[in-house]
Amino acid sequence: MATRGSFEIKGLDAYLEDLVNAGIDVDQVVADVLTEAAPIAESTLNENLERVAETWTGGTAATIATSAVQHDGNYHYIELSVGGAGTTGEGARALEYGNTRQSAKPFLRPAFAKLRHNKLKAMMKEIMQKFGLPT
Amino acid sequence: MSIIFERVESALATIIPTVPFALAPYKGTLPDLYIVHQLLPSSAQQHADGAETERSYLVQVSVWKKGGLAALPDVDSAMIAAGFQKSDERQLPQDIETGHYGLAIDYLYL
Repeated sequence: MATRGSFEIKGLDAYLEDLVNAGIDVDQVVADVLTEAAPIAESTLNENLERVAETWTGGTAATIATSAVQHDGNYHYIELSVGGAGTTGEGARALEYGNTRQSAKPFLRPAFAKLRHNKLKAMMKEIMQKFGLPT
Repeated sequence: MSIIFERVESALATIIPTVPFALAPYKGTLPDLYIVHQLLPSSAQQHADGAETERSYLVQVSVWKKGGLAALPDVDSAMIAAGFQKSDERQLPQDIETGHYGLAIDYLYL
């Protein structure tokens, strides 16, 4: 089973409200932001995996996968997973959450946190500038 | 920063009946039921004049128990009473060698 998490857009209400007021298709903007975020998320996951791995073979990193943007009503998200088809995912899961013999060396949760804190607002600002809206 | 560990251990010490706990990983012979905790990468939330003014802490608490995950100690009440907010929760794979089942819960402290 893969270790996975979803990444959604939150905390950007003010930006989204400005886009709505300007008559811009917010659903499309959100999809664009998530699409742009996907390779950054993969790259961050890869960096984190390399940092926490005791011996780096790149095998687990090769299983990093990102879904297309998904929708559930107004809820937009992408899913990131590590340890997909053809693997048990146990190594990735043990790294992320620990087990009875080792503490966790998380790579997934910090990647999401980094995206939320550092990357997402910068991407939204770029989009606001693209539409000539104040940031 | 060490205050967050003290806060977690103070919370876990209030659980009745008492459950052995430690900073992960648990050393020595594993009890049938025990708890480990650890701080996950945590970041500054706010800065003023170039100085950090607010930080959030994400802590993972894992409960390991032989024989299954029913009737677990009430970690939630202990942590919430200590000011933590419950976040994600997930079952961990059974340790085939020891027979322990695991449940990991994240708690946020602002």
